[in-house]
Amino acid sequence: PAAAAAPPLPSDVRPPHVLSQTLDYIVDNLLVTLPSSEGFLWDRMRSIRQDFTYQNYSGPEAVYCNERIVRIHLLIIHVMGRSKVDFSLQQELEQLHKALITLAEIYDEVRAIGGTCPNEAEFRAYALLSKIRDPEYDKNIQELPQEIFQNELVQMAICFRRIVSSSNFNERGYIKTENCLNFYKRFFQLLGSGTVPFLMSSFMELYVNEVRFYAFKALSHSLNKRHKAINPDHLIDDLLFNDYKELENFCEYYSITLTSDGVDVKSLPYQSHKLAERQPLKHAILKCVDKMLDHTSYSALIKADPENTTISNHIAITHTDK
Amino acid sequence: MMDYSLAQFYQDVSNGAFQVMVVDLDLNGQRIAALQRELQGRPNDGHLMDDKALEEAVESQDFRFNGRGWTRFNIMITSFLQFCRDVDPWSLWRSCDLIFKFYQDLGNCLLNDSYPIDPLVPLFTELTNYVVNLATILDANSVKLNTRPHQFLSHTSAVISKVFNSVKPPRTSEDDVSNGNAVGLPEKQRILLYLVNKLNNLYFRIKSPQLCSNIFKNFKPKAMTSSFAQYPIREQIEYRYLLGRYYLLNHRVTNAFVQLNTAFSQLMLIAMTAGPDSQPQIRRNLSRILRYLVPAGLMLGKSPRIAYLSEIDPSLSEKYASLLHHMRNGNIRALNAWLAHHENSLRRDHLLLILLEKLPMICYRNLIRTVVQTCTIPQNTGKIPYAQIEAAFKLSIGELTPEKIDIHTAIHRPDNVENVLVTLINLGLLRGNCFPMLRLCVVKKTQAIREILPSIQERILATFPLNSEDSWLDD
Amino acid sequence: TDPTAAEDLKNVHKQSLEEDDEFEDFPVDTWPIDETLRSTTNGQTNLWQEDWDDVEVEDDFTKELRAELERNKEQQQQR
Repeated sequence: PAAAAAPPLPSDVRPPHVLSQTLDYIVDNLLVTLPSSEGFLWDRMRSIRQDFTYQNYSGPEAVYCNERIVRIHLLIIHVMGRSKVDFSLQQELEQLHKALITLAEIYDEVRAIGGTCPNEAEFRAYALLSKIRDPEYDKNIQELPQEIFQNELVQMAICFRRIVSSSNFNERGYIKTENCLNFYKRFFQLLGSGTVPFLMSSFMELYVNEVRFYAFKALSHSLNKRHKAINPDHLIDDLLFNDYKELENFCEYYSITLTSDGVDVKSLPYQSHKLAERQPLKHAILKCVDKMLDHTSYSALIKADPENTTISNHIAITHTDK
Repeated sequence: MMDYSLAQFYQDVSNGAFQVMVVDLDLNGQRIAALQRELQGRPNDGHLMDDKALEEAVESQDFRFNGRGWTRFNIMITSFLQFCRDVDPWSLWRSCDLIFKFYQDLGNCLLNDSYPIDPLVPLFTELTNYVVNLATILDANSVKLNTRPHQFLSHTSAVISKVFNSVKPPRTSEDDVSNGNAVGLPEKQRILLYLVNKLNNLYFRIKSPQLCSNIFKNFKPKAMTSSFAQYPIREQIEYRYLLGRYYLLNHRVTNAFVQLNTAFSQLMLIAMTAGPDSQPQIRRNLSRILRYLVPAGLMLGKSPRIAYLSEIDPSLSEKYASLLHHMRNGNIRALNAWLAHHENSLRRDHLLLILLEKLPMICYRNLIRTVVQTCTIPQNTGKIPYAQIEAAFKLSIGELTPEKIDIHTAIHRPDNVENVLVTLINLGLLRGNCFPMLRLCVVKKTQAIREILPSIQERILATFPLNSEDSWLDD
Repeated sequence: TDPTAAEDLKNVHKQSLEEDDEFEDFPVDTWPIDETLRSTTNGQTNLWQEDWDDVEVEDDFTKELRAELERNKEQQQQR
């Protein structure tokens, strides 16, 4: 329950079918009002999730709503990222993460009594990306059934986890592990290839600055002491900066010397992507990811179920006798 | 024994003969049957003793310990008698609550050190082994019983955890018995490692190994001896085995390797001196360790002796022989094919993803070693053109697959030369500098390949030091 | 009905631990003395090869690789 508010009266809590309808309304009519409506949507979605919690309900409508809410958060993260409207990324991520945890619990419960949820793989994939360096998720995914493990989205997420792993990663409380790949070039190659679906790409945008930082860090260790500046195009290409300006911003933030000669990679003074004395860099938006929005609408993105199930199919496929 | 009675039971309890409370019907069935008859009032037309009557009967025995009454002890005795009265030997399900209650109440007795708990400890360990078996059967039937997954094993772990948590850390250094005075060790201290291993095993079984973290952290602070070697060797080996697996789950390869390797060495030593009766179990335990030790070693660039391995575990040896071969040759495509081929067993052992992540750089290092050996050193220019490495990558990684993404084909690409070099240099596995604009890697001009590609293990150990909190295990 | 009717209490202790991963108990009559054990904590068994970088077993891949590298080397020298 919300920290500030007391729990609602039973009569105020909306029944599951009403919650689904409310969310459907949001998807069909309100997403188009983004980015300005972000705060409102955040609040409405949180209240929907909370109503399920208050009545301790984890049936098909709860799955349906939490799944769509996750997708909406992923959409919002990209849309807000490219807009100039102020918003709290941390709050969006918090709700996203809570919804993913709720879904994981329900999926486990359903499996324990022999049922299945058709979209489970997609959301297990997002969970893998939510804590991309936490080995706990590698353990969990290996325990799930073959159909889930071999699902293309799950495989993609696992690839990203390996690619983003870095033995140089530096953050308080994080223990470095051996032989990590730090394949920054492959990371951007995949995102730019068009084969990673939009919502997953939006999630990965959250890691772009981090990956870029550790690329710079690693590169700086591999250059000769007296190495001259590097042609900016080399970095713009490999690290998929949208333009020179974006590279400029990045270098300014991390105190990397950028002159008419190029980028002096070795001038990077920091060990960690997290700077104590500054606000975090605004999360990056990739042009190639943004372009994916040209071919679809917000509501279509949210409604795209791999198996095109409607909610009545949910009821048939999953269980309800609890 | 056929004439066993309540009166005799109370007498036995008074005398501290607690083995009469063994719950296993195979061992203690006649006593329990006799008590059941009496408690149910058979055959002499007596009354069944209800719960209140039982409590009062036990109270009236006035069991005293150093002059004090012990409430929890009485509760535990009462639970045992309730078990005897109500147990149905033909139904685990109907009887299990009785057993668990008794187990919990016995555990609660052990929490307060101001009572003479030592004589109860053997009963507790025996009952623990029994309850774990019982819980295993019940959890295996959880769907039919409509219970939560791992419900009974979780409950069992909660009881053991309470006893573990009640073990007090030594107050002063005088309490440290590592000088060999194990004779004076309280029972809970003697079984401390047993409790640790039991708990960790259970956490693995209920698929929550992250719970082991607390146990590992609190073990040494609670131990009255600062010498790990004082515990039974069997328990020491099992501890390292579990610790090694725990490290692997957390992707900490070096630490995992060291613990698993020590466990293996020690168990091998025992195997050499043990009698024929224990050989099959020891051999199976060796296999269990190797299942995790061999991949850990490979990730550190070590090579197992296949001939030696095949004497202990032929199928494991065969499995890893081909992986070793491909790793040494720097064959990325074959490495991935091996992972795909063994995916099911690797997944079950939680090894697939850590190997997927941590084997390739060793493989790339070996591949580049071939390039350096074949071209760079003979040419003595100290220069490795990216194009040369890319040619090697093309052969090693194989054909580009269309952009369907799966873990075996989407991570590696031949044009990734600079990134691979950068990572190798950062890991200390390659001594050189990159020149991105010249598309060149420059290394020392030398005939000694070691100066360009140093020993893998030395580098890894230097960069990833061991967890100092484990050093007491080797003192 | 009792779903566990087939499983009676008398057989509980006969349940072998099905868990493949768990250590089995084994009788240890004679324990190696402390010192012998200490000497093995440095992992001295014959399981691991000495650092042995040079040993390679030829196969199609290594042959092809060497051939390609030699070709590449020649091309370079011709420049």
